[in-house]
Amino acid sequence: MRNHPYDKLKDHEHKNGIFKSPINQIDNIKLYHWRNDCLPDFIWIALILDYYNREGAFLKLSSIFKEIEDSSFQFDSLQLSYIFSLDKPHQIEFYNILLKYIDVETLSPLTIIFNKNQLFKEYFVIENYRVEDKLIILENIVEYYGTNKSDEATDVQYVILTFYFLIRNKIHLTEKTSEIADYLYKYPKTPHVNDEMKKYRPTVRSIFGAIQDGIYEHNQEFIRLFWRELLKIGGCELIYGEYMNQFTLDENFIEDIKIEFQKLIIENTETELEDSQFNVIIGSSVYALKVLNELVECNLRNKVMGRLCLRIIIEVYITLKFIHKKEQEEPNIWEEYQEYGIGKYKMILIKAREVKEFENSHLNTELIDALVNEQFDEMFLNIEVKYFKKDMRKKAGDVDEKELYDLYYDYESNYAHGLWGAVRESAMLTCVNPLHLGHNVPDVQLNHGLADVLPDAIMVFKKLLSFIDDNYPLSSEFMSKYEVKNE
Amino acid sequence: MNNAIIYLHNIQNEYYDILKSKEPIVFSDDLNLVEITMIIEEIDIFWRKNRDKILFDLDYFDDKETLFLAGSMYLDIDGNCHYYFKTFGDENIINDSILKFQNIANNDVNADFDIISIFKRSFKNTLSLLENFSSYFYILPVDYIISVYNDELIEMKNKIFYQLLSSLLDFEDILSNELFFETFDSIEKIENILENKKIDLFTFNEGDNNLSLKERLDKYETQIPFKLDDYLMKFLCLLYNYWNQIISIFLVFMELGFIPYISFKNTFFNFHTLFLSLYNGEDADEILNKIIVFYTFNICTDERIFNKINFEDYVNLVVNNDFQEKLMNNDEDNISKGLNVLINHISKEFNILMEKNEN
Repeated sequence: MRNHPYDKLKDHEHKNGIFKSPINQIDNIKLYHWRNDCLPDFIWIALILDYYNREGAFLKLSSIFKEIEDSSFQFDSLQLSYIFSLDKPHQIEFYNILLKYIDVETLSPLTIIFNKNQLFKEYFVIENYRVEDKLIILENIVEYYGTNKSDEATDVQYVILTFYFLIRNKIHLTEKTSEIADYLYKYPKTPHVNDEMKKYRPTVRSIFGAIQDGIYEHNQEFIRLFWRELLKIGGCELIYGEYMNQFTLDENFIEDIKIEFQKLIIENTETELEDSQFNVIIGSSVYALKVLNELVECNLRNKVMGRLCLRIIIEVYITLKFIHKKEQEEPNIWEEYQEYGIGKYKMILIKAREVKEFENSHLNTELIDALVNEQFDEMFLNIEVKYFKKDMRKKAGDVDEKELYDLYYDYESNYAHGLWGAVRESAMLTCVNPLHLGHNVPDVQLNHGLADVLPDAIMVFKKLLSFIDDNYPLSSEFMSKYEVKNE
Repeated sequence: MNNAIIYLHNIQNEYYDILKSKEPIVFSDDLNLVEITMIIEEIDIFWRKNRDKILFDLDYFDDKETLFLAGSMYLDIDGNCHYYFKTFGDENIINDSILKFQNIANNDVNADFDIISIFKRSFKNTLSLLENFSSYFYILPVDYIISVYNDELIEMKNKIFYQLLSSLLDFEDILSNELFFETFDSIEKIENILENKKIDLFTFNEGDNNLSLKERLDKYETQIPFKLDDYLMKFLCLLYNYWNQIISIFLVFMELGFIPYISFKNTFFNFHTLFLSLYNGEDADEILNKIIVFYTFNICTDERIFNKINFEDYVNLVVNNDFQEKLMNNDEDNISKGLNVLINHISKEFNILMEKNEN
């Protein structure tokens, strides 16, 4: 598991329901993503760096900058958006300067993005250079030069700084920053493999990051257009979740549980009429068993519904454990729990009577009526809106199952409520085309699988069995066969 | 399943608009290769931007008999080829001919190959199809669609190539590159097999069948873009080159379910020879028979006859009289009895059809 420098909850400021991350606690911070927000305007520099080796490219760019200095107009920015905004004669002058030092092939990949720019095409379209091949070049550029702390990205940032430092005089260093000047001077001459670059590279990046807003204006419209074109031209490369389930469930596990439960029922027949505890524990456990069985039989282990199955089993387990703990304070708690559940059904029945029509609905009002009035007439039945004063998290804490709640239950709750995290994980596919900025595509064909929940479902169910055994002993053979431990 | 065309008609209209805007450039006297490259690039990008819409509408063709024009650079409207092509199938697809110039619009091409004239002709045909026949034919970037469906296209083509090679050399298992070189240590060994099976390869010109296999490989080695000394490698590369078109046609058939409509003799005979080695579906014979009937209709029907009938009327005539069904009647019997019998059958049915038009 990867560690993160800011991974402690205590580093997050908690206020008004928001846990503010450490960086966001600093005022006046503007977030620019190097690849998404900056690279497009300077991609031509990346192409030159990539086409020639690093040393060669720096030399050529240096020559280009010298000629720009002597050009007939004041060349204000290295941004492509600026270059395209120049009037025709100045653009031509700039392209001619470029082509004195670089091959036309270097910038040719850009013609597929700026396809409507006739002048640019006239200069940079060449024969026998297919769109497919240009896309591959651009993918490599974005992948290597778009990664924020890569050597390649730092080289581009260095070139930008040099221009604003030496040509546009927008950056000034003082005596106190002479060490920085030294680093910047040595940067292009030092190979990346040298140890000194571990000082030089962060210097370049931190200066660029700190002052970029001051030295040029981000052209949001241009950046948007750039990525939009590439999204349309390049095909998505989608990643599907495909899991080889390694966990094998003993084929007799569920059948053996059924046998154990049957024995329990037989052995407790005489007392079950009065023993609400027995009814609730066994009834709820059979409910959990039904859910487990459906998880297996309907092959839901890699599906969204599998997550809900796990959540149900966890909730049944924690609830039973909680009620058991509370019995000392509230001796009638098991009965009251049953009344509480039936009371909730009464609420549904009352509302259903107001609606009246349930054609083709699974909501069988006659059945619900019978269930509600089964023990006694509903007029004697209260509807508790909030029986347990504690929510699930607090209940789990009370019965020493905080980790079960924090990790598993809370995680699966995202699925139960259809929250975006679960939607993103299960219904959206990741596109790994570097030109598509990591966008997601809905899994319309329903191909994407999820990690197997069955091992965790079995783990929780064994906890439930252990709890049952504490109250109504199961056979020792069963317990040892399936390694159900008593806690 | 998508039962209606949602996007393709608009895409064809947009494509027409693009081509129309390029007309002055294409038909100027000084059209050059760079301008052709710019046009091809713009069109390539156009198809890519419409990729998702094209793929969506492809479902529409699933339950229809769809033919695609195979082995031809473009559909020659001046030669009435659109009549022949539209005689058959529920839907008819033409691979965008302009994109085919991607790999050949450069100065390295043989000087005898007047690429600019051929491009102009291709462009003119495509424009005419879109202008006058857009409700009868769909122009699609078929090769690009195949590459989207199959991102391991080269591996797939290699697999098919070795399947054919195994069949050619009577090898039980499917050959691989390694197995080929382990099994065959000389070109003479291969030549013996081919002689026993009476197969002539690389006989492009008169007198070639009098040359040994080695001599033919030397004669046509310029068709391979790089120099090779080893004759076995030369054999593999030339053969791949020779079969490349057939493999591409077969891939379209397998990936998209489009039946190839072939009118060129060499392509037809090569495909006809190799098809059953590649495809052993239950309908293999049925499909091959259709391809044979399509080709035979092409060679035995005089194009000048179509000058007497308006295209729309002809299409209606063909559909209303179930002409294809009539041609396919007893197809196995007719084909097995030889080309003349098939030609007679086709000619007879076609004459009956034309008489109905006159009436």
